[in-house]
Amino acid sequence: MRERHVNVTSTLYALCPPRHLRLAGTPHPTVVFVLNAMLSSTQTTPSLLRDGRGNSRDNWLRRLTHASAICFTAAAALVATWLLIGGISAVTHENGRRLVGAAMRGIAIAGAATAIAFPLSIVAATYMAIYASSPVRKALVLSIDIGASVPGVIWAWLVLYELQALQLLELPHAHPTKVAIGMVSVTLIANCTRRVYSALRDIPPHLLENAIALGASRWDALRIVGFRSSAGWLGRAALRCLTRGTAESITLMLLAHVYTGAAPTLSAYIASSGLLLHQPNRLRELMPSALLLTLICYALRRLERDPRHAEHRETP
Amino acid sequence: MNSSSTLLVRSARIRGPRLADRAVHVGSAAIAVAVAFATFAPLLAATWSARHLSQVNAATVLAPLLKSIVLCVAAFAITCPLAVGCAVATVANPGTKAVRAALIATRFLAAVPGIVLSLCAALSAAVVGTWVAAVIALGLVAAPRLLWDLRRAIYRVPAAERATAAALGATESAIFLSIVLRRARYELAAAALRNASVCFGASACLLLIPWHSAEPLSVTVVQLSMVSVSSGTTAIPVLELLLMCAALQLAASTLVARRKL
Repeated sequence: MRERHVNVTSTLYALCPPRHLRLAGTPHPTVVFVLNAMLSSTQTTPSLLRDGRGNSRDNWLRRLTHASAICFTAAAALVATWLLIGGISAVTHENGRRLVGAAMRGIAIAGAATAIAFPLSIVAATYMAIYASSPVRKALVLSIDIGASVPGVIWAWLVLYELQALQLLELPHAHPTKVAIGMVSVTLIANCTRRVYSALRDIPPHLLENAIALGASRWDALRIVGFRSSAGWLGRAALRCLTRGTAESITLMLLAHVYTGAAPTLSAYIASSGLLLHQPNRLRELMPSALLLTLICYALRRLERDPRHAEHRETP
Repeated sequence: MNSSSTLLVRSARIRGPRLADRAVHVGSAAIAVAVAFATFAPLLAATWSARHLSQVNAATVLAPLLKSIVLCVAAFAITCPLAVGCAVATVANPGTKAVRAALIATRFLAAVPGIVLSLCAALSAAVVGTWVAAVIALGLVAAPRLLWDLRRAIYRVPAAERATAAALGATESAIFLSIVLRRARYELAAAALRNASVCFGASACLLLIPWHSAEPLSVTVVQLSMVSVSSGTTAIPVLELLLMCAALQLAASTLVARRKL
């Protein structure tokens, strides 16, 4: 009887979907497909309706999912509290000027690296999104994905090692800032390209097709329509690169052995000092640096947020 | 203007954009290939540098790799169910206080650099032990990205399907268990694999944890930093790490391709 009632309701919904579904642009076939899928193939929903287990399952699901959300909140609160308490209590041991100097150097190096990596990323992503054939695009996307998943310090080490092996770089004689910018650029480029590619792929295809149909070349269509429509996302990608570059300046700790007198960035300072200390009591002295680095990265990430776009498109 | 010059103007008009288009095509292709080569060249270099593998004791090469895998599996076993639960909560009940707090917390966690989490892990290692500290640090690195990827996968299931099922009287659990999770299973699995590779790569961040044993706990930067930059033996753990990340990414891409088919 219950199943019959559901079938009648489903038929009604298929024939005349509610107004909010029409407004959402949902076509009739989708509704019919869902109803068919629910009623004929899965049979889960009618059975749940029939035996009355739905409510208890709902409660369990709600409890479990809320417990997960609370766990996330607790973890973040723990880290934040630890950083605040540890950082503020240890700030007397730290030379404030050195901290601020290291922070400024980190942002400057990350900014210079972003200025190198981002234009290259835009060009590479343009080819991948617009011009490349499907097999080439898949291969390029895979290589970029692999590059983005490996920590930057690994790339930086490999590049340093190879450049030295090929005698293209003599570390004690090279300018430390130039080497630093190069290392951070290398760590950023795959990630930058992936983000810009995602932004360009999100351009509605009909916009480009219409522009091309009106006589524009693909480059003009992309320049006039594509880049303008995704300007917000490109800006966010640039900011994300800057944030990542600030955090990835940890790669400079690899140079700590070479430039002993050079003042490092914040994350490199934490890494190289921590490696030298390796004593829990003395590690606490690094907490102010960690707090400052976190605050900088968080502030940069807050700048990225664009309320005009749907929230679910955000990616940490 | 005679007919020949009209034709010339027309051809110039046509040629201009086409030339620019061709130039952009060729130039961008060259840069894209260069970027891809810059990604693959270090992998090839590491492979070449690891040619002396036979001279190295296998235990010293494999033990850190196995420990890294164990660490990542443990971190993922804790993080993944929590992330799935939290993602479902953010989609099902986006307005509740717990969910709003979790979203803010995720944004904060995503902004915390790996080296800071490593420092927190190093300081807590004295209390909870090195293994537990390492697992927590890895979990915290992977959690925010995993949560957002899962949310995106869930959002790809059209909202109309959920609305229709709800209008039909389906319970919340039925909607998520039989529609959302079922329709988005490939995307969810791909997101999990992709983040597993990130988690594996993040084991490089555990450099500050003071390991009490002589050999490092994982394929970490400890090995990179403790030896000279010009040492070729370091290339072996780096190669292991790269290959693991590549394998996981490849698996994720295969899953996504299967979904599209």
